[in-house]
This record gives sequence, C-alpha cells and structure tokens, in this order.
Amino acid sequence: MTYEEIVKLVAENNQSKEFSNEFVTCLIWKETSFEPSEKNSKSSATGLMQLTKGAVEMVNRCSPKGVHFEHSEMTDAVKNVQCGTLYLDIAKNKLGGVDTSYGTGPGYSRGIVTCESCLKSDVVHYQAALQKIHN
Amino acid sequence: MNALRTALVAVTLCLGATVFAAEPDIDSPLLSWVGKFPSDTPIANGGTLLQQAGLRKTLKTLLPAPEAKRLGEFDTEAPVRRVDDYLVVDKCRPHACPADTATIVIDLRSDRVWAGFFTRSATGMATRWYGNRDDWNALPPAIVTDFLKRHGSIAP
Repeated sequence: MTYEEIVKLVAENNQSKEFSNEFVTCLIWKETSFEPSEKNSKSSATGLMQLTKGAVEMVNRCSPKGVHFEHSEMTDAVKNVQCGTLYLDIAKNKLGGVDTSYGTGPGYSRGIVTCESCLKSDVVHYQAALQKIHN
Repeated sequence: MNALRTALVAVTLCLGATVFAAEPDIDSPLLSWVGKFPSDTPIANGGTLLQQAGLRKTLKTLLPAPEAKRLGEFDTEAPVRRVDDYLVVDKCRPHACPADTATIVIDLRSDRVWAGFFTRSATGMATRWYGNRDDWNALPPAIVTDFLKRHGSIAP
C-alpha cells in the first residue's frame, strides 16, 4: 500500500486511546513496509501490524462485548489496524509495555517515536521520517 | 496475376505470424509459488521455494556466507509475485522490515538469479546486489522500483 493509503486507513481505524495515528503509521512501516499480506514463516504474526494469534485472543478477552476478531482476518488491512491498535493499548496498560509485549524488547519503539515526531512536525517530507526506522 | 498476389499475401502472413508469435508459455515448477509464501510447500514433498535444488545451489554459490545467514533470518515474507517472466520473492527481518530486507529475483526463462539486500542502521546504510549472470540493471525497472519502495529509498 502507498503511504497515503496507510495514512487514510489509520485515520479511519485507529482504536487506540494512547497512540497517535503517526505512531501507528510508523509502527506499520517498521513491521511490514506497508505490505498487508506479509506473514512470519516461523510464528503466526500476520498482516500490517504483524498480529499473532495470542495478540488477537488478548484483544478479544479485553475488549467490550461485541468486539471480536478472528486471526484469519488479519490480512484484511482494516481489521488488522482496528485489532492492532486495541492491542497496543493493552500492551501499554495491562502487559509489559509496547517494547516487550509487542516488539523485540527495550528500544523497540525508539525509532517509531522518532519517526512519529518527525511526521508530526513535517508531514510533507514523510519519507525522511520513515527513514528514522533502522536496525 | 491473382494467383501470384494470393501467394505473396500468404507468404507475408506466414512471416508476420512467425515474427509476432508470442513466446511459448513458461513451464516451470517454480510458478507453483505465485501468490503463495516462499516458505509454503505447494509441491508434495518438494520443500520451500528457496529449498528447490537449482535455486538453492545458485544462491549458495552467489551469496557470501554473511548474506546467506542474513537471508535465513528474514522470516517475514510477502506472497511470491510474478512480474513479466520473473518471480519476485520479498523477505525481511521481523520487526525491522524496511531496515533489513532482501529481494530474490528468478528469471523463469533462463538460469539468471539476483539477490538484492538493503540494510539501514544508526550509523549508515548499504545496498548490495548479487547476480549470477547479469548486474541488477538488467532487471525490469518495475522490480527495482519495488525494491527501493520497500525500504523507503523512494516514496512508498
């Protein structure tokens, strides 16, 4: 998907009360380079936000009645962002934080936060912001 | 005179048909992976795409050991695409996709294979292309453009 498509998708589907649209956009870039059909061959991580079966189950357990996702839907970009952004809040507030409960450990979100900050201050040169994501 | 004209038309049509005939369809087992993931095993007892004997051997010869090791760590993958007569395989490092990524390109009409790598760290970035017959600039421009978009060197 293009950057513009992702920005629109996130604006319309970000369910998080904690994380900005820019943060989610940068996280999606870091996880999958905006490719909604990406999967991890060694785990169940699927779709734009690379949601595992465990993450989807956690969202279903912690969300209000009527909110339910299937892991098989996670290549659907809309469902993925809705479920993934709900999971981000759970990771922050009920688990060990985004770095450890979503990412690879301490430092995982550092580049995302830098990217988010750059996007907020200069949306025109978004490419420079995306390049803040590095190993 | 009419007979001669008819004969000339027939010869012209035959020659035209020869010149403009489409290339024969590609008959490669690797086409089984189009739309599937590289780690899928669509051929019974056949292994993954990168385990196919010819491709595995080519990549082993082509890639320096550190790059081969890196490729083995790229568990995040997109479905295999066909672009013209080429198969395109995109893989990247989990949780660092645009910063550590690879594209393998297989020419379905010959034994040509390319592997492109990109890494971005806090201290710099590097692009490396390996080809067994040709350099990267022999690739269709669309494939090179997609490679650049995947890591943000051109706008995604």
